[in-house]
Amino acid sequence: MSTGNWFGNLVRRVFGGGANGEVAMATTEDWAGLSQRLMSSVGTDVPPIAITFSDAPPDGVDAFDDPMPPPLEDGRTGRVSAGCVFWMKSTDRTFSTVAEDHGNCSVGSLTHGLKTLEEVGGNSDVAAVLECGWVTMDVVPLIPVVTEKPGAITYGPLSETPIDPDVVMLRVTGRQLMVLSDALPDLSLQGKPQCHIVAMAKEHGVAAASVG
Amino acid sequence: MSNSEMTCAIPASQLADVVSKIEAAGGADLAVAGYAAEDMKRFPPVN
Repeated sequence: MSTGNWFGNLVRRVFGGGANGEVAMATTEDWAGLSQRLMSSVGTDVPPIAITFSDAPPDGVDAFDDPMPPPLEDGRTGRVSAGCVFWMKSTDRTFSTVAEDHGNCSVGSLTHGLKTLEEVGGNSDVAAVLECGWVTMDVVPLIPVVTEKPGAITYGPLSETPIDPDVVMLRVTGRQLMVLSDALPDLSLQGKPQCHIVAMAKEHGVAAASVG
Repeated sequence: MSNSEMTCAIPASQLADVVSKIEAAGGADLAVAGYAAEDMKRFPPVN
């Protein structure tokens, strides 16, 4: 190993800069390396994404700016139909979101700490999932949530995250979940609503998979 | 996202340890699969 490589690796690990010398924001891990090892060991070609909660959108990260449809009668609208759509949109680019962007999905807004149960309880999407029994009222207060309201949530490929993330999200098949379960005896297997596993990982330090 | 896919959320602070555990488990899986494949040869093929 040359001195140049050693120094370059150190700079990249400390400052998160790229191979050609640019310096982005501080990261403390080799997230690109971990991303590659995670994909290889699980056997997936779907990139893991980094999810980062912060007080404000990070400098230098584009805001997710797709248009919002007109609001429904209960006021709901957002830049995607549900917050979990951001998981799909962020496999190839990094962007930041704010509470309004998540506003069409009451459950996601609740689990991500963007709104309280009192704020979303009367919304039509909450009524829909309760009326059909998809979720029952007795479990709603037990759903894990992010406890501190974030000013921004940033999504993007783990391999290019400019900041240390809070949660790494991976999409898996049944076979890949078996690999994870085999390796992680404490992996928590969850059902609905699904996005609450982000709160479990962030708030409780628990690796959790959802089959819901 | 395909309806055959599921999701897994991992605390980022634990990722290095998690990856090491998956890699170790993967090695064991390969070893067992290799043993089973060799052992199968003693029996007629399964249709």
